[in-house]
Amino acid sequence: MELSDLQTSPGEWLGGTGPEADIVISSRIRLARNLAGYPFLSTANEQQLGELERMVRERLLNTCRAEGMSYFSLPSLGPIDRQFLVERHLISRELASGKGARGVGLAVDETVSIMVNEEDHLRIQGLCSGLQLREAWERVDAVDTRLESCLEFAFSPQFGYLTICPTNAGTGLRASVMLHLPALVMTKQINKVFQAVAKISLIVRGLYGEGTQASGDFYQISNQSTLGKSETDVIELIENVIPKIIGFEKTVRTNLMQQKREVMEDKVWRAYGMLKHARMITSEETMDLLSAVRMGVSLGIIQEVKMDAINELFLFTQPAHLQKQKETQLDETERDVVRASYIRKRLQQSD
Amino acid sequence: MLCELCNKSEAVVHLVDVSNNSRAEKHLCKDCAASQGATIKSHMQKSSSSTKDAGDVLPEIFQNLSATSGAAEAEACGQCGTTYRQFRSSGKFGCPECYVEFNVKVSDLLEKIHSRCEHTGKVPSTASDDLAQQKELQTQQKRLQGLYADLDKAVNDEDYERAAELRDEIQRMQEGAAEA
Repeated sequence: MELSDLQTSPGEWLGGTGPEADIVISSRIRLARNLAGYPFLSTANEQQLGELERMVRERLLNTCRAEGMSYFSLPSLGPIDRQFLVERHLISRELASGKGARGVGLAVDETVSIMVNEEDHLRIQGLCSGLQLREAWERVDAVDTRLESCLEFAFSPQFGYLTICPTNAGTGLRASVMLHLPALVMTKQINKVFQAVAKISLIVRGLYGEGTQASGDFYQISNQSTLGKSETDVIELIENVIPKIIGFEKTVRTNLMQQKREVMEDKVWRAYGMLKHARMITSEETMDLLSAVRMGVSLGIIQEVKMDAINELFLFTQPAHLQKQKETQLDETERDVVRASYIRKRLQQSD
Repeated sequence: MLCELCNKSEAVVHLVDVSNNSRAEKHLCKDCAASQGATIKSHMQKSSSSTKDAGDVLPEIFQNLSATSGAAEAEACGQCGTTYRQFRSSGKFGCPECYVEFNVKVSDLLEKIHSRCEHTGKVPSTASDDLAQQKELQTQQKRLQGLYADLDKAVNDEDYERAAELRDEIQRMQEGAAEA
């Protein structure tokens, strides 16, 4: 598989086909694993990192044939390709900007990705569309089990899987669900969600994980603690709280439609109009406008566009995706022009 | 600012206790804060359940874990040479062995981060056979201890019939273990 094979499709997880897909974008599970007998990345030297990457890469390609696994070494990728993978949530910003021998294994349908030498030696990630944490876990668990037959992971019966940072020790599992919550943001009630989830030790993050801003009204809810609870307990905890947040968002949307129908319709149609006619548009403005349109499609205010087209636009209008389409490096102003033109074309197609 | 308790050292730990609608501030030095361990602990539990990212919680926990002595700080992992002080300042271990080398402190720290310190999730298949054996052994030992306690009690109560039953059961278990 070549990276350019990915760019024509949005990846299975963005298909908008999973349960509760109008509010839940995706469900993600990641496992942190380290190899026994090797130092962590904090103390490993260049030679050890290189050796480790070569070994993991070889075993990965051998054991994950079923997933159609391809491997990309990060130092061999240019900045646009790296950013492209970040935008698709296949690698972290840390892996993209890191140094030394590191890479990523990708399943052909992008539902599994394995980062090598990120913060831990391995970060196995499963990504599914909609609310499907269990499915994501099953995929990741299967890959992990196959990998452990040919790689010895650092494990202690007392502390579980040993990770470089003690905040990940134990299961090494981070389960997160990405939600689109525009009505709660509009009515300034999103803080209630933050407070409620904090009470059960869950945390809220922005679109691209730790330390990122919420953009396009997207929020990720994930577990904080990784020790003392089994993988399925953690998944259950999140699975139980998500329907309540979905219910909250839906109630607020219904109330807004009953009490402020014109305001809602105006917001949605204005956003749609801007997207359909703008000649230059920044990434940030695109996210905001697409968020309003997405809510409009979900509420049936706009019927001429499909949800999957809007989901795709969120991804395909990101800087690296635009530059890969044009096969050239573009500066910010050029990107704004290309972005506006791309959006116009896509929205006219769906008319 | 000097420590409120000893009035000698610089106050480095600042506690704000809000309870019963009143707010009390305490400014203490490292040693006095350590001697007030209970107060610090309750403060930490509150902060670890806040909305912060897991990564943000660590420095706060470390800042509050000021009770470790200088000698313990300088202790280095025999495998990779990372000292506990280095770990404290970076939040990162040097190698898997660090968990074993700093075991007691790590247990404490993990308990503070996760509110628990025993793994209950997935076990690698390579480790699970050993682990199952270990667990089986532990349960047997516990049962044996229970039987001995019952035997003592039966003897004290002069219930010799019961004592004989227990003696036979213990014997059977020990023979079984020897065969295995």
